[in-house]
Amino acid sequence: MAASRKIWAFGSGKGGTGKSVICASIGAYLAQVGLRVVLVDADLGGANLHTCLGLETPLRNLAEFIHRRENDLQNLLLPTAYPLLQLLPGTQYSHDASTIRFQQQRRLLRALNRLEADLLILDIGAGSSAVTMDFFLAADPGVLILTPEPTAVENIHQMLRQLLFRKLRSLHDYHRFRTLLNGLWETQQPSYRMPWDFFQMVEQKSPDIAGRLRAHLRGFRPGLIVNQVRTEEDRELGRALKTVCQRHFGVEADFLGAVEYDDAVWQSVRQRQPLLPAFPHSRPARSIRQIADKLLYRARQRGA
Amino acid sequence: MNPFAGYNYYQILELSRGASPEEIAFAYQRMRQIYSPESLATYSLFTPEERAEILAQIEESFRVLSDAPSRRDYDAFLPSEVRPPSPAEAGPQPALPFEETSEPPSLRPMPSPSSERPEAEPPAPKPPREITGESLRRFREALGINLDRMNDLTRIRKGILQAIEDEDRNLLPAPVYLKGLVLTYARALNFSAPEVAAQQYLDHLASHKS
Repeated sequence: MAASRKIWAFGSGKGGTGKSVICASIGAYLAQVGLRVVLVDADLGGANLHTCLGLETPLRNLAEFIHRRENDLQNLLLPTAYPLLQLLPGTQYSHDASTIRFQQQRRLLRALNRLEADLLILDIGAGSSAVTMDFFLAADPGVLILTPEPTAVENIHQMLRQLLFRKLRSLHDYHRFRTLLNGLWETQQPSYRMPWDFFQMVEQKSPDIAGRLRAHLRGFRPGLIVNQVRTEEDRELGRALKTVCQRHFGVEADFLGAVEYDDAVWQSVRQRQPLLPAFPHSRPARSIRQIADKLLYRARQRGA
Repeated sequence: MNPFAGYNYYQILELSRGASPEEIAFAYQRMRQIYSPESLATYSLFTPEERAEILAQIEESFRVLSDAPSRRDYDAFLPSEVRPPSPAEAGPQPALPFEETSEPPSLRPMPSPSSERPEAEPPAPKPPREITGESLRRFREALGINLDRMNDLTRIRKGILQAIEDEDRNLLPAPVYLKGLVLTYARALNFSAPEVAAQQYLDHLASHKS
């Protein structure tokens, strides 16, 4: 991945968490402060970012690239109402692309990296399909958005588990550990619930391998955003999840902030405008701005 | 599996060692919320038994840390600041030397580099067969380690080290903590089976009530 290019991916365990609204708002905000931003609608099969930006359904989209009718993503970019913000529209129909193959995915990631931009914001689909997870892991950081509801939290747990083990599988010499890990898997199914327990079992079998896996996972620091919070308790959920991730999953999550439930969001969607320019003084807009600033600050700290 | 294996009471409550009483009370409430059966963050993660175990450890941590005298006793044998275990941050955790997971988790061996440990030079003094305060003292002195050095090695206050050697029951903490102290002591002197030594010391103390 090119060092100069920032790629942030936003995913969620389930639909309806407000992912697209947050992506569009962060993109519009950072374009206003002077970054060249490309919003990538990587929700293959359920694209709707264009609507959040007040655009008509684009005729040409990622499907052109996937079916090799277009080789240069630059030609698919659409201008938006904001000078430095461009949109790469996603595919509309699931048969177009939701099951693109590994090769295609590699080709797409390479092409994304060549886009002329300071920042790519990937709105990846909800759930944990292989494509979604690989986009998430290719980004720095990948950010999970959830709402304070049992179903959303459960899906986040599931997604974190799957991301974690997919990340392990990306080790270049994973085949050397496969037998050991699969063996533990099968004998200890119940403990698979808690990745941290799993690592302790690996540790007992082989401290060397456990050390390698840990070192490999050090780069996995997913961000967390809790959207549509209504109470103080909701707001605490992010910090609670960070604690839970660290202790029971062995994952250092980065809680980026909570975004308030507010009518302004609903109004902005109805008006088909990103929340941030449309209602800059609403509470959720303020929170999203802080989250974007935080992400930018972290990226600069990393020297990206 | 013990979800807090390797954690001390501060780490269980996500506190720093210098936490104020208010911070302790706040952290305790927060942890109780995170692990309550109604908690959004964890309701689906644990079996009722696991949850009960976690909550019991949170209660125990708060009970000790919220009471100034017991906190002092507890602090006396904690190693200096240790980071919470996390695979993403720290290296591999040293495996717990205990058989029983019910031990206070903070009794891990001191992270002192092995080069600092007293090297057994020939002719090496032999660890005593019978473990008493007196025999521990003689062995320590035979190794040429004074109390200041011992304090460096173990981070146990000199007063407590002395009380262990004097078998001064008035100064020694409850057996469950004392075992950890003696374990640390024995480890610093490179006992081959420090757990056994610690248990012998406790047995000795129990059978010689003064």
